[in-house]
Amino acid sequence: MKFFPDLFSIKTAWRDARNQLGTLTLYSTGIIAGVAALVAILSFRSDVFLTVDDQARELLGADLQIAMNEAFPDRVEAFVDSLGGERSNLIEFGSMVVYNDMTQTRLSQIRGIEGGFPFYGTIKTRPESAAFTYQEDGMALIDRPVAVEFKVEPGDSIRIGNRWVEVAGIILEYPGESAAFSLIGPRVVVPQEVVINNNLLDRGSRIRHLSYLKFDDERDTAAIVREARPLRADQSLTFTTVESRKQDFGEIVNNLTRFLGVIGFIALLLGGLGVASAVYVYIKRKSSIVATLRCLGVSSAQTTWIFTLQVVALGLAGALLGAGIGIGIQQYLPKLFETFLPFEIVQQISYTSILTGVLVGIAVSFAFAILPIVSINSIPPLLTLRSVDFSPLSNVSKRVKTASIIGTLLILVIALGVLLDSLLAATIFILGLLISILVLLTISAISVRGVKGLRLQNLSYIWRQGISNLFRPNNQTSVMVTTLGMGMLLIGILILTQDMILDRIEYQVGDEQPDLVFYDVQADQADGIIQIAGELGGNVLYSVPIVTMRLAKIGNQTVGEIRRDTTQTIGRWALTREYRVSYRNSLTDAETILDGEWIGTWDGEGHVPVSMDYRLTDELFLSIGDSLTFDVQGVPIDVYIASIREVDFQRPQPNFFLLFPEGVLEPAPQFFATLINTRDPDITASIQQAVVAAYPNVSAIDVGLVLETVKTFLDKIALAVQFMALFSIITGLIIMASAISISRFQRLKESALLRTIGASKYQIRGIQTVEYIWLGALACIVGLGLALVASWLIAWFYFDLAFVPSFTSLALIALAVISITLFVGFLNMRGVITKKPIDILRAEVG
Amino acid sequence: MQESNVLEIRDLQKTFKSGDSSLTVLKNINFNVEKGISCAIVGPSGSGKTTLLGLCAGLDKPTSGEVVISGSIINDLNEEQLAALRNQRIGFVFQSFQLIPTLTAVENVMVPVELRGMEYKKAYERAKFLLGEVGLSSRINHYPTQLSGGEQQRVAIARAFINDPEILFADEPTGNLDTETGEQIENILFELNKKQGTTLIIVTHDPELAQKCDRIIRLKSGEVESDTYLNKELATAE
Ligand SMILES: Nc1ncnc2c1ncn2[C@@H]1O[C@H](COP(=O)(O)OP(=O)(O)O)[C@@H](O)[C@H]1O
Ligand SMILES: [Mg+2]
Repeated sequence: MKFFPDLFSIKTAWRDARNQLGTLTLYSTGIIAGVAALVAILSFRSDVFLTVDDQARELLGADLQIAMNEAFPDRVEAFVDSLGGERSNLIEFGSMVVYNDMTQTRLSQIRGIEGGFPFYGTIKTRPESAAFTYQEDGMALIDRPVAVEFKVEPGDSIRIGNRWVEVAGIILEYPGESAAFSLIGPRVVVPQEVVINNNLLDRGSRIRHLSYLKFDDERDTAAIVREARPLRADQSLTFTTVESRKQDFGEIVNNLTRFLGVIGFIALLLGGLGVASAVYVYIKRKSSIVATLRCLGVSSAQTTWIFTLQVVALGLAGALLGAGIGIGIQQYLPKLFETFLPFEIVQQISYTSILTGVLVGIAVSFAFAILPIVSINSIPPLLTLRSVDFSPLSNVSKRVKTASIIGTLLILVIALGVLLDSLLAATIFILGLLISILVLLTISAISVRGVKGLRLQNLSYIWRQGISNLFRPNNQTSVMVTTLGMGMLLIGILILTQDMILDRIEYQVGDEQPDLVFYDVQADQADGIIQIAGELGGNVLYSVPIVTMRLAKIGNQTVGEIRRDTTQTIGRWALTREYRVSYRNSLTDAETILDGEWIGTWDGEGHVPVSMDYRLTDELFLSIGDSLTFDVQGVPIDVYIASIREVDFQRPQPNFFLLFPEGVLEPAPQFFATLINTRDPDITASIQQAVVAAYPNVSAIDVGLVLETVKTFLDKIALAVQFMALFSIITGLIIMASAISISRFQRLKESALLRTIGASKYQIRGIQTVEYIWLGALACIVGLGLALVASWLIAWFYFDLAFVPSFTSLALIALAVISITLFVGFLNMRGVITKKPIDILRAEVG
Repeated sequence: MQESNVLEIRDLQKTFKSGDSSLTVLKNINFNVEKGISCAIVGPSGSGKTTLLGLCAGLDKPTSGEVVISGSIINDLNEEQLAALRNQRIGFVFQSFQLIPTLTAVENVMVPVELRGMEYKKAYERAKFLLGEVGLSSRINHYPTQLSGGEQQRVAIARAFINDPEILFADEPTGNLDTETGEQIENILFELNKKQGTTLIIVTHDPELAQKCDRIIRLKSGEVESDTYLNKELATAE
């Protein structure tokens, strides 16, 4: 084939296409939804980056952020001081807050601010002035969701620790944070002096200390970070610059949009499959024309060009239409991610996104059309003499077929490679997807054929005719079932696994399940809480002591030495984390000794025998008998690994990676965690109120509330993914609509014929209904069947769960898809019934 | 005499309107067809034969005049009633066969009785029998695309006879076939017509075929030009 079409090919391509443009565009509609999804996602991504570039400094609120999980030690303080610039300090921690009156308490995220943070951007509040006056007035700003829930207005008061503070305003937006932050717990902003001298900072749970710096001279913050490297060696100290925050955020957005883009690409591939199938049907119908052209002496290169030109032009038309729709969808995408974005998206038409989407769309539709186009060459001129039911593809040689398929795959890999920025990832993905599509196609074909065998004699005529309609000549039933099925597979897996996770964390009511957890309980408060809980009808399940410590040495090597030693591969997290440790003299039923021997009490001599979970010993490369030194708030304690346990962290009791025996930690500063079973939300509420009233420093977690939050969060994420998976279903429906339209004339003739023979409207409609119901049902069986298998595998390998599918969700999806299939089918068949049977006599129209 | 007429046409007129212009295709058509005879409608192309057939069979509505089938006026029937009437009393054979491509030969033949709710086994037996009558007992499970034109038309004839129609309308049944095959088809038609006592109305421009019928109605420019009985008995009866 020559590289360029000659004038004759171009002219003939146009002449052949011009009086069937409408029908022709139908062939390309399959890729519309896919291109629309891609263009929308790519544009959304470019919008986000545009906004990030525009508001990078507002994302951090300063030029440099320095954070630590404890108050800055002197060396750090001295270093920060030496940097100069304007400085603002924050203390962040979780604490109970009483909103308005004692019955309204909630574990909240407290931010004690000193100085001018945020330097860039503002905390948006109602009234607007509150953000600028609360510091001076010693008042608080509180998060909108909690204000709405507890009906707190500016002028009301909240209690933090043992101080009542007046609310100056309601937080609408906080720089660098999305609305999803409120899900963790309501945000409360107060002047720092409110939290200091308030008994609040003496607690077991984590307190983050942050300093924000603003430089008026264009300081190279990256250089500062490099300079500070020695300081960070063995501590939790982190530096964040505007640039690094931007990069972190960009990476998240990239991953998210890449993931969604891939789902969009799946829709596009399915559309491509539809295009291939439609082009094949088209070429089959054009066989006699091709044969005539060949008889007239047109070369095979020319005939190939004639149809290649048509296909590429069609791909372009479909892609452009898709791009237009994509631009429309782009406007609604931010709504979907609103909760997760820390700023309002600036929207703009991104030409590179549109171009990428269109080009990828054309490439994919062309890639899939290669094989049908190649088959044109196999159409023999002999066809002019004998018109037989000719299948072009069966005449193509194996070698040519293989070469075409490889060509198709190459184009697909390159197209996806462009989207993913990685050819390797694209190759793996395309291969994986191709295998799944092949599996789907095979299963579709098998079940479609199975239905053909189902034309049982005892079915009524309507049923048999409806089913046999699925096999009309040039039908695209398998492809329709595959595309619809793929969409359902995606949505099915999503819903099933989501159900499964929710089921797993579902608030379980039972004697063994804690409904209320108190932590940060000081040693002298533990008994008081047990007493309150008992009086109000709660059942205390556990009250365990927790001591925080850090790893100081492994053997004789300090943590700092290990981290500098490049031959060691121990993760930073395991070395520098703050360990929460408990002590007791016996094991619980959630713990199993894997190796060594559990020793429950320390006799006071030598190293302390401790027990570690196997995951931690693996992480630290330790085995039985190895010795370590822990720094228990200034006091070094030498220990050795006496036993290695497996801890079942799914059990409701508090579990610990590291467990000490009795007789060591009793004098150390410690906090208690108390788990209470109430089985009644009212009792939960009253115990929480009473405890918070008596001990303002204690933090409470209402387990039911937390699970509710997790559910909300998962729902929001699932919505976004489902939205994208929907494009596959839409693609399936579009392919179905175009297949119906392509066979429309034949359908018209058939139903006119049936009318002539005397079929009633009811019967004709019945036949159509049966056909579409079967189409939808087959897609359901294939798609949801595979979704069940896939979810079962996911449950088995990932979550280690027994898989109990939720059949109601599945039934609902199935019902929805079958109804939509019926709807689309009937929409396309309008007018068929009203057609006068007389037309059958004038059959020349065909 | 009235009772022996299976079809009566009274003052039939058909005018096609397209925009402002109107074209009268049929006018002043009057004739009765006796039960059990074979009647040919002939005339040059465009003379209105197909249009007339469509009106007689209730496939279309006349502009004015009446069509009476077995004593009932069909003008006022709605499309659903007409469909039921066609299903029970009328059979069709078309020039271009008009088989349903997704059904096998035997399934195509069964359609009319199945629409009436006949049990599968009974319908199947009857269809098989009729396919035997038209000489296709070895091809009953083939699809239309696997059959030649003549074979397809034989299937269509079997389908037309399966519901024991009172009238069978055939529009150029041999038009798409070669002479020899066409003759076979004609013979089958007349044979079944005799055996089952069906009234046969054939539109044709083949004079030879017309000569085989009991009666020939000749159309010209939308009007009956002549009406001849070839069968002496019938002629005297008139
Ligand atoms: N739907 C229609 N609209 C307008 N004219 C029509 C229509 N159907 C048929 N005709 C015209 O009626 C005339 C008779 O057609 P037809 O009955 O098919 O003739 P024949 O079957 O005798 O060849 C022709 O001139 C044809 O063009
Ligand atoms: Mg005609």
